Amino acid sequence: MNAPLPASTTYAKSLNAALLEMMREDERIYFLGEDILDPYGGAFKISKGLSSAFPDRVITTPISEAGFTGLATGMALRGLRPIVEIMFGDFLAIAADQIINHMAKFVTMYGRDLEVPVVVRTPMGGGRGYGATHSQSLEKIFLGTPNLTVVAPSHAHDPGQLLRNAVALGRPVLFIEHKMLYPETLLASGGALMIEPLTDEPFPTMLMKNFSRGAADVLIVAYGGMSRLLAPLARQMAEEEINLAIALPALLSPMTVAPLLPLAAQCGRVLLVEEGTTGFDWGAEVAAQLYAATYKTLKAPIARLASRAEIIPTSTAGENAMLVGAADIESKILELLA
Amino acid sequence: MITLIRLPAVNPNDERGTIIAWLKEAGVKVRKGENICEIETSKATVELTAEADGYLVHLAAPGDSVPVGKPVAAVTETAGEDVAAALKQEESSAEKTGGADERRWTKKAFIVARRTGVDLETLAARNPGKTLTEEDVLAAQSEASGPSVDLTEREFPDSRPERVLLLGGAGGAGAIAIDAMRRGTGKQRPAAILDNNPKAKGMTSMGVPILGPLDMIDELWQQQAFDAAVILFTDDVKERQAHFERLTARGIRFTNLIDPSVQLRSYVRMGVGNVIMANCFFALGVSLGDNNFFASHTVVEHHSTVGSHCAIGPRCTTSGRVQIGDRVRFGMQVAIEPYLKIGSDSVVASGIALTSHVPERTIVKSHAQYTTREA
Repeated sequence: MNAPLPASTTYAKSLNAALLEMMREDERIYFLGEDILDPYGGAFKISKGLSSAFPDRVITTPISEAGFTGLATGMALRGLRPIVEIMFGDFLAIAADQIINHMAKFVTMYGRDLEVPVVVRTPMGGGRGYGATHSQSLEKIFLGTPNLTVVAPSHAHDPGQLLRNAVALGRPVLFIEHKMLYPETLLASGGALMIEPLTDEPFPTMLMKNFSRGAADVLIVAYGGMSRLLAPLARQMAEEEINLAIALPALLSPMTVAPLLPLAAQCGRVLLVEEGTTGFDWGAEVAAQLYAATYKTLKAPIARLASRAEIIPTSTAGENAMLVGAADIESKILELLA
Repeated sequence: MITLIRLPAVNPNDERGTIIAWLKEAGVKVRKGENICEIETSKATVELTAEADGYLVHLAAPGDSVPVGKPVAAVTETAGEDVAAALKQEESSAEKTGGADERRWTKKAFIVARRTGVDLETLAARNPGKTLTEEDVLAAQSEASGPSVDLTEREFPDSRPERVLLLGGAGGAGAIAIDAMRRGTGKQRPAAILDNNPKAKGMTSMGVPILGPLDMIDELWQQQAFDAAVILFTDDVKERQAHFERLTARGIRFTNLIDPSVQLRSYVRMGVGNVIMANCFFALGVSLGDNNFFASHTVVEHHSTVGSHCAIGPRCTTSGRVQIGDRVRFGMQVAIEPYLKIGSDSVVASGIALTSHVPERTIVKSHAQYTTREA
């Protein structure tokens, strides 16, 4: 019974380890946010151990996202490399003015390019029954903001490494973590799944395939927390002989579909999935770019899935009905192939 | 009597917990409600209590990460009781849902059956106990409908002529291509024509079947119904390129189709996918890219180069060392003076004699009229 499980790293531990390492290596890195001191170590334990190891560089703040995000921007202008934790991504709305009108603009608005190396990390997403103001995926509000890089690693990525790359970028980065991914063990090739990077960039697109022979039936493009639905679904679909190529970009904005084009042209059937609410969403931009480049080779209109444009209920049943789920993805795949 | 003690759901953030330490040794007597084990979750460390009086059995070791709901310990009524049976029952009830594969067909088999018109119920009845796959459906289909193309070819692949699939060309280019192969060395033979004109489907050209639209090519490639392809339509050179690149990326081979009357002088080099019709002449040192179409009587003089995906009308003539880019279209009887460069994506109307370079994306309507193409 219960043979010891392999001690693989979880998404949360990967981030925590990267933070500890980075702060050890670089004295310019400061960590700011609410309730981040030990022993509590942050609402999702990503900052666990940080304040014990670096008491002078971990700053626990009052409940004022605008205040401490602005503070971090100032620190960055003066040569430090602050990392901000927004306890729940929903609270980004409070910091939006600081991010859009100050942090991102300072990069180019003073006649010469300035380094503004701030990383704002935050958990997004539902699935935990946290209700309307602690479960949203609000990243779409920030996509397309000039000078702001928006990154959202899936658990097929190494989130710790991507966080390192975000800090190394030297520009404002919004780093989106899906809260349901935190306890997940990072994915690796094995069984029916093959996982490899599709691009060689600081924020790469990972390609997950559930077949080794033949061609993909459907190309799925999704990001962040969607990987936790897609990995088990891909394994299940392998048994049904449905060949899936799943591209998981980590870089949401700025974005190019160029690396996806050969795959999209090859299978001619594309499904875009995201957890944010439908309408003016990430998938709209991806679909528009894909159409422009592949419309002649598509065998079906590009299919899109997002959550219903409603307020997220707290009850599990209500939440499941509103958010995109594995069953929605499966039926969309079969619809595309019908 | 055996009581299994499972990992509790301590908070909604965790699907697993980690065993920190046992507070009671294995085999000792414990009382209901006593703390027996420490478990760490992402929020807190909690104690696990015995749920019955009895003797403690450890089912996990410190450091183990256990999913919520799985047994961590057992308490037995008598000392040394074997818990194996209880655990086995636990496992078999968990397996029940996954049990033997009772599906009659995979979802892919279902989709392919619907596309091809194979009756799955009948096929399943013939194969009791089997989960039908895509392969079974395709086999049943080819059995029912007979070979769709050229499956009468029984010669060993090593020595049989290359079977060339013609893409487009139901309107006429197909016929001259077939004629070229038939008059040729016998090393190539037409396999079939695919054409997007729905009216052409089911007809033949020079006895070669027009099977249907171009997207049937994957299916035919999987059936190994042809060895290589050429593209015959010339009206849209971008489309020529898109098809060529898409199919090449999938591993589909392109060949060169050259009329036996064509003269290729020494040191002529070419890629693949070129179609060269009757009486063309390629002089010494000429270099061609991929996927070009040359209608009859075209002369390309020595050391000239042609890029890829071009469509050249009948009786065009270049002089020596002319450079032609990619996706260029010529009408009939275009003449080009030596050393000139014709930029990619240009179009030159019939009867023009070019005496100066042509920039990229240029439409040459007459000798003096140059207009930039719209994007």
